[in-house]
Amino acid sequence: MTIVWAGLSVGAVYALTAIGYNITMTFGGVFNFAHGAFVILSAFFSWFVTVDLGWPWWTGALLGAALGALLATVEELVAVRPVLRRTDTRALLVTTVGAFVVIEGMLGATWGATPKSMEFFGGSEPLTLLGGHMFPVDVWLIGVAIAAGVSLHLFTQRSLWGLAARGATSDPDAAKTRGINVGALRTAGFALAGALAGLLGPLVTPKTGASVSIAVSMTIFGFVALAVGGFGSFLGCVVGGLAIGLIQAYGLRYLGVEYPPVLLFLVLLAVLLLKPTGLLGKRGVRAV
Amino acid sequence: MTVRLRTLLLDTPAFALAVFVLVAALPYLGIDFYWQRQVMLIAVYTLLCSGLNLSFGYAGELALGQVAVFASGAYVAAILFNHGHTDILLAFAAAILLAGVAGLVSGVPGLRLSHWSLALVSFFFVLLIPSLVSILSEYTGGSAGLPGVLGPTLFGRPLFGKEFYLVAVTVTLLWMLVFRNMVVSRFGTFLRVLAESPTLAESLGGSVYLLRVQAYVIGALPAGIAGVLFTYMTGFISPEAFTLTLLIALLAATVLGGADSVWGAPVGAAILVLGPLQAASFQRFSTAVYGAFLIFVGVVFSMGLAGLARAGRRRLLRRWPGPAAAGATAEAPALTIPGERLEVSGVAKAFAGLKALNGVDLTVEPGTITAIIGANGAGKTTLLNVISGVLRPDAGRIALAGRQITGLRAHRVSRLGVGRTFQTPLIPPRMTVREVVESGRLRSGRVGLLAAVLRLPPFYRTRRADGQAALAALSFAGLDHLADEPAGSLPLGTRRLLEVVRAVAGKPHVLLLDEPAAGLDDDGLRELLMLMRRTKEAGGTVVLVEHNVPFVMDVADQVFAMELGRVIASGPPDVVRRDQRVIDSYLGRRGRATDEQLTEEVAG
Repeated sequence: MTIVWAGLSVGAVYALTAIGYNITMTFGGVFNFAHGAFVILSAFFSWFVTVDLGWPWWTGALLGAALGALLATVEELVAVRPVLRRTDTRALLVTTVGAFVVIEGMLGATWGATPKSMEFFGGSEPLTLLGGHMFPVDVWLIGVAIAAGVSLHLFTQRSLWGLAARGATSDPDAAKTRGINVGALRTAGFALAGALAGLLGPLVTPKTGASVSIAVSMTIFGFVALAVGGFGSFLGCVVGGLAIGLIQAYGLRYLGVEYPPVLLFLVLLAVLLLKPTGLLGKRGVRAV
Repeated sequence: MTVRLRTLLLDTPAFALAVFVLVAALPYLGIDFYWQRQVMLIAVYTLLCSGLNLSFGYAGELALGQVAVFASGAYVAAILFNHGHTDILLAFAAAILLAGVAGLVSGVPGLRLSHWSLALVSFFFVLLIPSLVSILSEYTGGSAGLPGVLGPTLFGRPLFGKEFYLVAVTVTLLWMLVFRNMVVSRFGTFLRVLAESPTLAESLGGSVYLLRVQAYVIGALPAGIAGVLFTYMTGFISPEAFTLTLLIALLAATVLGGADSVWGAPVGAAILVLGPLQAASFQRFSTAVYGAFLIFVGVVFSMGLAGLARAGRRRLLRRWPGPAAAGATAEAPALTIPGERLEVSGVAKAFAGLKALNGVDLTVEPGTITAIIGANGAGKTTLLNVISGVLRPDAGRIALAGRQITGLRAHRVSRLGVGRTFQTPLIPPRMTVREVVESGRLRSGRVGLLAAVLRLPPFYRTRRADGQAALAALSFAGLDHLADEPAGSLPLGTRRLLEVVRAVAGKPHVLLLDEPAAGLDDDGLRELLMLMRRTKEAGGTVVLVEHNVPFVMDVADQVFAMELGRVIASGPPDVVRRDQRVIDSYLGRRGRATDEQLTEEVAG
């Protein structure tokens, strides 16, 4: 059972990353390759505020949210908006990868390659639940991931904002003629995703540590969670994330430390070949 | 400047070849070992960037796994060496095979989805390198790596120093020539068309999916070759050489040189190796700088140095115009177009409850012009899309000369002889008028990739035939004086004509025209009318969807009027124009029903 909790909690981190991707996709119609870097940025920032400066954890969360929103907005304005007007999508791939690298490079240059760790604000005493050991941070992570997924799902399905967003991403021109400010919605989506990443810093960092070397795996596993769960579905992000977390934990325990990435790669291939829209996705991110 | 010299400089890779020969001779001219190493590193990066040119620049797919394929080639060479197989040709063969497999594995799952899915699946490979190296550490030496990989052999003869250098430069040159031959061929034209619009590529007979797979997989091959060269060059292999920073640097070099170019790769690679970012003081910030560079180039400067070179070349060419277009003799051969009979019966297509087509029947004979008119929303363009295979009908049959084409995919339908134009002309702006018309010929015959790469006689035969047919089609339409202009510089009317000419050049059995007269002034309409009459006289089957009713009445032999997905009237233009139902559908019938009721009541 301990393995299950370990898997679910790391899966929750992937689910939250996937949710970040899904926010920009749902509100802006754009896949923000740099989001994984935002998660790592918030990890370093919350470490910096809480451990280096010694301020309370919630200041780390709030300041992180503000920083994340600000930087994400800058990214959208500089690297995404000017490029979306072009007919070929190539440039967008290049600029968002560039944004990822800029953030990752600055983090590395500022704080170096040694991983940093921080304590969880809710305590570090292990607890026992259903026969398995886990830490308070794990309980919080799983709970927050599910809450975030469900609330965003309800928001996009039921609220007027959500409806506007779905209209804007499926047919931007039609949405514009209905008075929806497609560009502002997209910028808001980026800001929201950045803010979410920043806000969750004090929650995620005690679990993952702050280090540049996990930026790549965070980016990729977040994508795998999104692909498995279904593009466009917030509930899918949660399901997908938790599922791959479990696969990773079991692979780690029974096969060894080098196997989880290979396992997850095979899972990704299987999903993309057999059910490209993912478990819960309706509209795939189809090009043809 | 004589004609031969001009052709030699502009149309053949003679200049690049000369540069490579010079570079190959450098050790014999006395450069020392350090610089030899730098040149070999440039060669390795050239191969890597060139692969990215093909998969990213031409096919638009971001192959972030290029570094992983590079690593696989390097490890294959090292492992073979350690097992006693030192022959470099064997290493190349194994690396190419592995690269092809890696390309397929990372490409096929993502290709039906967006560009992002493919980019991230290939990015995953970067993550897999340390894992796979660990799992297979018995062969790969784990994180410590494999030392002592020195002295490859070629046919039993060891290659050291200058000879290995020569092999490296020669192999790079050979790949660049192969790549160039691929780009200057039907395959290359398909890729350029694909970059402009996948719909256009399909309508010219190219399977978008197959083209993308081909470009993506072939783009991985040079990375494998680069890996082999790299291992033997450094003599040592470890997983630390294959980092994210290298991948980003390669991407930056590719984009700087010009992603959709051939000779941009060596330029970008040279700048990468010899440029300022190699200085030690930059190392700490190098990653961030590369990233900022990518954003900058992506936003501002996307054509790269090659784009600048192309613009400069165009200016030069304007100052020194070439000879008159070869083969433009007084009388172009008369054009015949093999029109066939098109039968559409009972076709229905619904979009989630909206019945766009509700049982359409029509027959079109060769050597005639048939027009389809109707108010907006009548289903005219949907009908064209169904006939050309862009959409699959829910019911009904479509036959061309008796052969069923219902439900076939667009590129298959195109290959069976259905040509079409689009409401907004889909013409790659940077192609010349001649190239655009030649692209209309892609529909028939084979792509012939192998013949193109090796420049075998069939390639030259096809090229000559394409050129002659294009010229014939251009003079058929009276556009031959524009043959070398870039298509993007033409006014709308001429571009519409060009689309029709492109379709005609492919000798279509049926020609579908989607509102060709829209937005044309009187002169443009006159030219279009003439072109359509000549197409009909040459034997073509023309189906024309049009709003401009006077134009239709002038040009059509028979007219079908549609409303809400059905044909409501058909026959010669005069009859249809007077048909009450047609008039009603354009002008409305409010108040008419009460009149009719009254008339019936009065009549008893």
